[in-house]
Amino acid sequence: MPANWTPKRLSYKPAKAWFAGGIVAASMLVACNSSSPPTAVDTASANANITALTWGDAKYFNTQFGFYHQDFPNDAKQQTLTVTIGGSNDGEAISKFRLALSSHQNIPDIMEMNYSALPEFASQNQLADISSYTGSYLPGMSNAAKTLMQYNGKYVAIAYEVKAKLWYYRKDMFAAAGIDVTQVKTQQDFIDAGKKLQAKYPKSYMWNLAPNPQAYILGEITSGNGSQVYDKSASKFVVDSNPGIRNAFVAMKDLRNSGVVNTKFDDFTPDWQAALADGTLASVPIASWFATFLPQYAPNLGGKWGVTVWPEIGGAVGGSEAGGSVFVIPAAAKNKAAAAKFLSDMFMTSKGELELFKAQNLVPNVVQAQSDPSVLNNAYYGSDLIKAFQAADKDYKLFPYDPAGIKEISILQNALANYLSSSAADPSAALTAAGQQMTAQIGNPYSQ
Amino acid sequence: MEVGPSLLTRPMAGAGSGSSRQDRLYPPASRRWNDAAAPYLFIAPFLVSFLAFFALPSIYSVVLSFFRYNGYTTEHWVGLNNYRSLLEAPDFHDSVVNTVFYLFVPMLPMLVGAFLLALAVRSKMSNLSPVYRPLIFVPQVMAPVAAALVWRVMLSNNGVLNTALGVHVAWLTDPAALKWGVAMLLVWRGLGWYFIVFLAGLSGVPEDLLEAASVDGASAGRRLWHVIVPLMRPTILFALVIDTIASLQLFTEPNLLVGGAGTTAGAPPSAAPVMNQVVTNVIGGQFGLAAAAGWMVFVAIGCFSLIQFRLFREATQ
Repeated sequence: MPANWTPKRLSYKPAKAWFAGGIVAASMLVACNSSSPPTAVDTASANANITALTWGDAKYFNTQFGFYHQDFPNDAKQQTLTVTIGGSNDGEAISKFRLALSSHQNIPDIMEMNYSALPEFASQNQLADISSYTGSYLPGMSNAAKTLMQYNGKYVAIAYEVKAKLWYYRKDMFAAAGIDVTQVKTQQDFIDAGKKLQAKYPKSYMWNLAPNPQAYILGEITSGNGSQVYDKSASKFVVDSNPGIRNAFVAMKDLRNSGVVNTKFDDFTPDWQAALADGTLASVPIASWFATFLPQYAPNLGGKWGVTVWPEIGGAVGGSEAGGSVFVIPAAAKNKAAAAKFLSDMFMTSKGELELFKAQNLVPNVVQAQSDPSVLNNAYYGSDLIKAFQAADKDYKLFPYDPAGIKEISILQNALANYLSSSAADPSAALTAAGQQMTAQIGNPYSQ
Repeated sequence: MEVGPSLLTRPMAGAGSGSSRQDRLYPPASRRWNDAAAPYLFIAPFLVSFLAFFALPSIYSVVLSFFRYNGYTTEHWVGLNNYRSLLEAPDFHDSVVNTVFYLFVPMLPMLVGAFLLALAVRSKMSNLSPVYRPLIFVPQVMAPVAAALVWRVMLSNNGVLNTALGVHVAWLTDPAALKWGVAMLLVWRGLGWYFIVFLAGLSGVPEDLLEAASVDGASAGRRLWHVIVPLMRPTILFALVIDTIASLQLFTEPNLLVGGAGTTAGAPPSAAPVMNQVVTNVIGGQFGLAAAAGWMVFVAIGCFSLIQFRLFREATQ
């Protein structure tokens, strides 16, 4: 060590200055960023690179875009598609979308979301009105698709999956047990049919409802029985007084106690998959998307599973899986026209929807495509699937989501789980607690 | 007092002579500035990233916890309402109870089991430690998602566990059994990690000390209790603190094991950890609530860690 080297106690003043400078610089960066206006340049169709934000897997988007080039070469001319995966589930993708809106950066031209999330963005005018792009395609769409495309009477979405309520049942077992599904119209009929089934097949059930059933089951009931979480005119949560929600809770408990419903396993568990294949589950009231999964779980039962509409459960006549899956175009998207053209061609025409049906077995939302021989004569379900789908279309309804729908469902689902695992027959305590939690944590959903 | 040149500004040996030349090339004022700046330059890469990605977001999240904000609209000041509404919510109470369960129930079998395994592998009785060591550590290497999905099959109604034990427990749906299934998974996954930690700690226990105790007639139990455990105290404290932090931040295992796989549903209230309060509020666009929940978890971790440090310090003294 040199002789003139002496240890020195460093002053903390420069550190303070650097820290302060860092904060100022970061603040300026943030300020510059947030003050940049959104660049909403609508570049029609040619040479556009359409961007899409979804979750899970990009392959469906890319497959559809491949068909777009193949089937609509003039519209797709020189266009490309870049798909971003926002996460493994819709919630993560929605979080990414919020970030994009917050930063005004990387706003996708197409965002896929479940309808439950749509009111939040539509109420904040973050979604483009697509009437001018899709108006000419609308007459060919099913009632369900048209319902799903709107929020407060404005067209802001293009329907992907309407998620109609369908009841899948084992035709062979029902026939052997003497059950006529056309006569199963009410919840009591459903329970009586289950007793008939168990007289013939003692180890079989009509449904499975675990103590914490999937949120979509509650949605399937509440979307059809007039349920409401928030009363906008009264500016208050009515979850504890709304008869629809109460009826849905009680119905699920009654069904669990009826003996004809298996209460031991949940959907998407190994037990559930095995039960669908071995006859333990002889019927499942669920949604239209299940048509894709059942042949995977029970590949040897083609022709034995029939499809019809739900009986009235929890007072629900018709409904949906509380809204389906949609594509929206953000108001600040750069390529709105090109994105709308792609979505309209592929999801609102007979040709595009039939490609989707071939690729994913999704029942078409275009009425004309529903009468295509490939749809009418489904290899697994025969003509049952499309007939039931069309019957469900007549009574298709959405749950009246408000802008805080995602949070409300989470609270409501927890209240249901608490109620189902308690010994109480009356759901008042669970619903009151849910209402208080919503009031405290959400306040007014329309002033978020 | 003359201040010497810093390591950065100091001329190389033989490159010059006398302080006058040094002063000419490196004036004292400049040298003082360089001396002060040099350490900060060295730590600048860390400091900038720390400020940008941790300190400033943390400060911002404290501020955010007093607002209602969905990420892209106007913030609404709500004061302490986010904290109050969380503390009053039954879901939050349930999640705190569950998290405390996940903290304490797996802790004993996991830490004691790992310690005994480490002792066994290190003992002279075991000739197969090169085989046991990786085998015991394998569950830790497995991705939590994969582990949870495998356990989901094992714990199903007709799964391995029910079949082996001859019982019919609905591990994945019965509200009373859910947490126990998660606890089993946590023990299975954590055992290997703490086994390695304790094995490393045991290597610091001097052999001659153990031999001396043995020569003095100490039994194996007394050697363990009076020699090994006191010397292992820092390692045990480390394991306890790490396990506490990991347990309070637990999220993946319960949600994948007893939540709806294939769907977006998380664990039900009877098994949901407190981190679900953060995540569900982020997904629901309630960033103020999410921030408040996050800070409550942070305070809880701080308190638990403080208590553990204090208890061990008192025990050591």
